[in-house]
Amino acid sequence: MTGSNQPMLEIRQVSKSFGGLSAVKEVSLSIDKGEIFALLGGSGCGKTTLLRMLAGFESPSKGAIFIDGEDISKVPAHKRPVNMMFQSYALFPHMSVAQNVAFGLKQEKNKLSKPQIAKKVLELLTLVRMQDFAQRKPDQLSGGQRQRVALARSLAKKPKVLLLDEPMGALDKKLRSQMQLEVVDIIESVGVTCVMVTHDQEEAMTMANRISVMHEGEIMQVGTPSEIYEFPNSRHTAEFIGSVNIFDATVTQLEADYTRLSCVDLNAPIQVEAGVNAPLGASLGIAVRPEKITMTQKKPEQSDNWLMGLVEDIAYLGGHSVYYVKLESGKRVMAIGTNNDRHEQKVTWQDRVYLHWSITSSVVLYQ
Amino acid sequence: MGHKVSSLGKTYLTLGFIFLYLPIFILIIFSFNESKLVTVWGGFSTKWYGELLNDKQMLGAAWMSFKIAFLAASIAVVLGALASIVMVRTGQFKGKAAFASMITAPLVMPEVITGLSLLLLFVAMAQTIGWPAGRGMLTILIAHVTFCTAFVTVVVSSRLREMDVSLEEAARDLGAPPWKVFFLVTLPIIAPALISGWLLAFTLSLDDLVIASFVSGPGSTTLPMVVYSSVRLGLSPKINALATIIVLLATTGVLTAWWLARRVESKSIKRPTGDS
Repeated sequence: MTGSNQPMLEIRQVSKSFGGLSAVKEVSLSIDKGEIFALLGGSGCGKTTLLRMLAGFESPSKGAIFIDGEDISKVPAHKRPVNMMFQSYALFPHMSVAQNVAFGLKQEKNKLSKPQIAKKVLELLTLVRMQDFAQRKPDQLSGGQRQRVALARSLAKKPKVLLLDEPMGALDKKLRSQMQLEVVDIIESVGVTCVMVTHDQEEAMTMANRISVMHEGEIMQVGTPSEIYEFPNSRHTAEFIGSVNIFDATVTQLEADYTRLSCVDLNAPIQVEAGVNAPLGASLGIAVRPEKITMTQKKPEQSDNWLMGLVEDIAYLGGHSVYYVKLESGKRVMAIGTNNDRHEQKVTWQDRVYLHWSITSSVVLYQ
Repeated sequence: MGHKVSSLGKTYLTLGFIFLYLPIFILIIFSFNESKLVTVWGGFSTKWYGELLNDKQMLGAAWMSFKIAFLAASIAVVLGALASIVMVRTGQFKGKAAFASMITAPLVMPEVITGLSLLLLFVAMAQTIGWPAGRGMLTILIAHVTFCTAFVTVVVSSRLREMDVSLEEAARDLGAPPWKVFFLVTLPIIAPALISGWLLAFTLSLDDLVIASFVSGPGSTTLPMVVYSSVRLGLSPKINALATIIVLLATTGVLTAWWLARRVESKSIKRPTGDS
């Protein structure tokens, strides 16, 4: 992404505990210049605490934070080269839009002259397409407009790292998807390094270049959205990102080009690609995403990687339908069928169906 | 619910207004009474207003009361604001709960007890350290500050609790050191609470009879004390005139505050619809 090999933001073994309860445990991350990085996790996973430590509102109990090579762990919030866009936007209600954006510029040591500040404010407001609203007060703006002002305000001081706390949290669903792309466009046009916190996996995948999945104060996995989705390294990540079917299986055969496992829920063995790092008899989880599964009413020709069951439920979602198939063992498996044909309605409730998938579609989960 | 008030509702409303305002209305009418007897109408006159202006004792007491109320309210706002910030914004500290309940204790303390305890304190202090030397305006002021601070603290701390903490964090994040965060963000946002706290403290101080009677000394008689003692000697229509002036001032104050609030509101009503 950049010529220099020094990361813009480096978090080294940072821990934070509140009165004996540890919220963040030994987190290490390295984020490059210009990257949009998402901390993704459910509530209480420590992502917000980590973000607040980057902003300087909390100080790490252990570890250090480096920005552009400089240790900022002990630097107070108002002296850090970091700015944050708050979940509630936190626009000052007693100031106009222009005054809000100018606030940071007026706090600088080598303060710009008044006309210079005014010029810069106009540039920033033009960047977020709010130049016609400069004299409005925050309570005279809609949710999306407030967000744009908050973004302009947090970009005003050209921070080295921009922090976004649940950036779309205060918007309704429709506006959300529109603003996600718009915010990314603005951030990329400015070229600022960005760390965002979200509990919404769709938001993280739309906006971020890389995602770190957090759970109980620890980082479970770091990777690009597709790496995290296609190659989850744990049950937690696989289940948190998207929908997944997980089969508990035992290794029965280790060959040079494939590995075979048996699963009590299935009639057929499971075959996965070679390179499974486990001995014979080991218990593993095999994850298969519902869209990787093909549904037929005839028995498939392949000997492995198929199952048979009755359609218990169908969720019609317009573009595609989700079929819930109940196996003899009682386990439910999810499969997605695309609705390409308007008149097609072949499979219905209580139909006997066969589900099958290819050897490359499944992911082995060790933990 | 419809926006038309039913006739029963109108009757209740009228009765309510009569119950609240008839006494004041009668008082205003009788302040223009010619007769020396307060309860007998003797024709229209403004002579009691004239007499009021010549009553040096009454005017002096009124001036004293205004001075005390102004100073007490101003000091109480500063102390109350500081106490609120300690209670709401600082983290946990030892004795925080005790501090929070003790600062608001004067709200529920009977005035007689507050007055008596302050009197004992002032006497003891005068005997041991010689300050305050005697009882007078200063002791009344100190006494009023103590209970006014309690009221201001309640008003300001509730506003401070409502205020979004991330506003202060945003200001810090944008480079403002803590003292600047307070003056540029916190203070303007809690300003309405400070103003209403000041007005409340001013009114309470102006109104106080019991505590002032305990801690006042010769030459420091407040208006309520003069009014109360003159009523005991026999009601003079002058009191009606004085009360009318006070009612007039209070009404003007309330109407001004209401008008200011409405102007601020109507400014923010012109909000746009939808997203651009």
